Amino acid sequence: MTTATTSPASPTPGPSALMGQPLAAARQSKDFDVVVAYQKALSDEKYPHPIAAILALVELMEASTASTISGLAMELTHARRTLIDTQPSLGVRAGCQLWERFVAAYGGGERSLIAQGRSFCSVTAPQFREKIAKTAVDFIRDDCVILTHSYSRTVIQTILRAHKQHKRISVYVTEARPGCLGMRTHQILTAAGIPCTVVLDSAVGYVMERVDMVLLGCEAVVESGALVSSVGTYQVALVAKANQKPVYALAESYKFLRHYPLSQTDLPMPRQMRDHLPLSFAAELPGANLAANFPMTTPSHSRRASIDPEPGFASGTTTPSRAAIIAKDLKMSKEMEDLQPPFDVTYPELVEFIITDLGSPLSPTSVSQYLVAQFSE
Amino acid sequence: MSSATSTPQKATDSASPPSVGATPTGPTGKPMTAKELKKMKRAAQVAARGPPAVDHAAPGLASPNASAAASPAASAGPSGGTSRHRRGIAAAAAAASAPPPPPNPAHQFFSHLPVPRDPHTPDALASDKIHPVVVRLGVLIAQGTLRGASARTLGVLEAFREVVHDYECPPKAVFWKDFSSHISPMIAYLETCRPKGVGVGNAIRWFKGVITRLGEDDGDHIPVATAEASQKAYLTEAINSYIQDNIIVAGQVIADFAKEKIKAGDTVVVYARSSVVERSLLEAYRDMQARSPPASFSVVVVDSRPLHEGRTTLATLSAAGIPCMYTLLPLASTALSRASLVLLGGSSLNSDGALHSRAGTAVVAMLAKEHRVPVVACIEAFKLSERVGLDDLASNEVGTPDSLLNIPTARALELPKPLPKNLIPLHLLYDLTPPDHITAVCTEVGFIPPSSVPTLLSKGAGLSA
Repeated sequence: MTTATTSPASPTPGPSALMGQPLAAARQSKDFDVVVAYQKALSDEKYPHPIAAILALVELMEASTASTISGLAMELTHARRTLIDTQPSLGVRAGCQLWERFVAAYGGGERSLIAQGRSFCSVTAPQFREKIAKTAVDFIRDDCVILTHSYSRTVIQTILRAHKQHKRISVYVTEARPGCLGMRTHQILTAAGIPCTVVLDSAVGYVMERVDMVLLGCEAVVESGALVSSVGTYQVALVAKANQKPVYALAESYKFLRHYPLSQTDLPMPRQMRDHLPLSFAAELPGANLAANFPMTTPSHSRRASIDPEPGFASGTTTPSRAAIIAKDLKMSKEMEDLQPPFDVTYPELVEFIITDLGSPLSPTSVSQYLVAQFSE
Repeated sequence: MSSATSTPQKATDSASPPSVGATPTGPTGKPMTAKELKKMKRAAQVAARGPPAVDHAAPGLASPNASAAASPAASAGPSGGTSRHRRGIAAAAAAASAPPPPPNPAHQFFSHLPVPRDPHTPDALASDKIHPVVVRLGVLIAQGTLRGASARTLGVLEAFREVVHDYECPPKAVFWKDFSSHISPMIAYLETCRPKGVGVGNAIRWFKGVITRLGEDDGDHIPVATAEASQKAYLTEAINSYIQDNIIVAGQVIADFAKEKIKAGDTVVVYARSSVVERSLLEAYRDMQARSPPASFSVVVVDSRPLHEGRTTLATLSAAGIPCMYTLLPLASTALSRASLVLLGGSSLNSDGALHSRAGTAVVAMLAKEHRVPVVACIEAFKLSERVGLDDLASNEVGTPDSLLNIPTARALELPKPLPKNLIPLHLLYDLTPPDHITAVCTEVGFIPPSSVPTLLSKGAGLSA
């Protein structure tokens, strides 16, 4: 009951709390910037977002000069808000929620709390990934073709483990524009000697029939059992579902986030991103630019040229090259790229089950049962 | 469920002011006693029902012989009654003496459901076992003036608080034992007015538990002289905190959660009336206005005959300045094709996540699912039920057939009274929305998927006790 009455304030700080924030920032963090600490932790390859956030909070506690517990708690709360308000990653929220819950439940002193936090980040958390890989590798058969999206450390570790067990596997990985982290996955797997092919994001439907299973990593697992992960995951899962291919998600339990998205846009966002929705239409059309960018003058002409060339219009070989020429001129601008969403929500009915460090694989619904049981105490 | 069931309803309507004078009078002008009234009605009911379907015959209505024996008793009684009454009985008696028509199979499906009954107000008032506040509450509930699970639970608890206040423990009696037996006829009386429903049922079960626990820790440390006063104070305090925690604060917390999901430019569809949903919408609108005045959302109130509860919602929302649209259930599909969110209230939530709510809710939820619009059921934890209902006939209530058949705008379509025997007007008050059609349940602990209701129930066992 007590958590129930206080929690509405915690997921999204109200406007009043945000107003007071610059003041609070001036008051305390003189020599310690939690965002810098977070980014430093993140630059280390081995820390995912939630762990980097926890590490930043632990470092804050170390650097803190607060003399009382309540003073420390205030600093922590403030740091948590700063992180949540500046970082787009939902993993940061998950990590902060976890740490907050841990601190609240912890009985020992500050020193041991810090020691616990450090050991969690450097020892326990990597073990989680190892545990998941151990469970997930049993789902990978010999001669298996795996499709994965973008870049996920847990997925890579699982695949590498299967490779070490001499399972003959091959991997399709999506390019995942605009970050193109799929290239990184490709690099790592190829170096390990695993046959790996990069797939255009738009070719997922084409390649799906050759795939045996889809492995997904994610940024956060939310209360509905849905995955929040790098954009494109949702459509990979949709295509897999349409082709009746099993989709397994791999997620450490520190990625569980107490939030219930009702739609793709219903995700908590940092303050500066909250005002403009990704992919929203411009208020006014840049008419002048439009005329300059499009060489075609009439709409009917443009439709014919780009989509449906008439039989007598040109021979089959020249049309694509013409389209390529047009496309070359029409590249996505920086502004257009900025309009793109970083994450999407993969609804739970598309995912077979989620493999976590909590033991046997969970169905998406049992994730929510776990979360409700954890947080509604 | 033909004309017979309409008879008790008439009696209910006329008995609405809780005074003895309003009792239906016999032909002699002398007020009929409740016993006579009951007898007459029963006879009429038996006669009107005719030979019952064999497989579900209630005891006492077992054979056509019984009805044949009963109808003379009815006509041998006060030779008159209202003319409608007499005609009804005569027709029914004629039907009973004729070779029995094939039983209407529709009877079998609905005969187990509670029908609206006469709360026997004068009886209750005459016996001084029932506190007048409870009688008043019973009449309000039976009439339908007090509707909605939250309002009814609140009413019952407040009435019990009065009862506690006015209760005097007889000398030599043990407080909690005597009070238990003092309050149980009142609970029974309320049950005769209308089935309790899950919310009221949970509250009453909790209250009985509190009384019993009074006996458990009826410690020696309480001096006998002040025991009664302090125990009464304890009960009052317990009721107050139940109301505060489980109804008022719970509603507030749910509204706080639900309003987060309403964004500027959204179209929210609501059905009929729910206090929590109304509150969420009002607060969402107030917040939005406070943040940036031009931002707004709009609400489509979907409503249906015969209760038209949505009109109350509409009045409240439009008074607050929220742009509203009002439509009836047949056009819900049109409304939902452009909606961004459906907010539903409910009478109770089964443990499998199915929502027991005003009839019509399931249709709205189904259409919303069809249009891929998220459906959020807002429900307080005290309305959670441990039951699982396979369909909406397992537990439901039957409304008055009159309200279903009387169409004020189309008098010509009205059916003759008594209704033809092969016609059963079916007015069910509730339906069951399967969990597949609910995207999320909004409770005091936040948004949960319907599949997590059991987890909450196991937690909630400690919460409400």
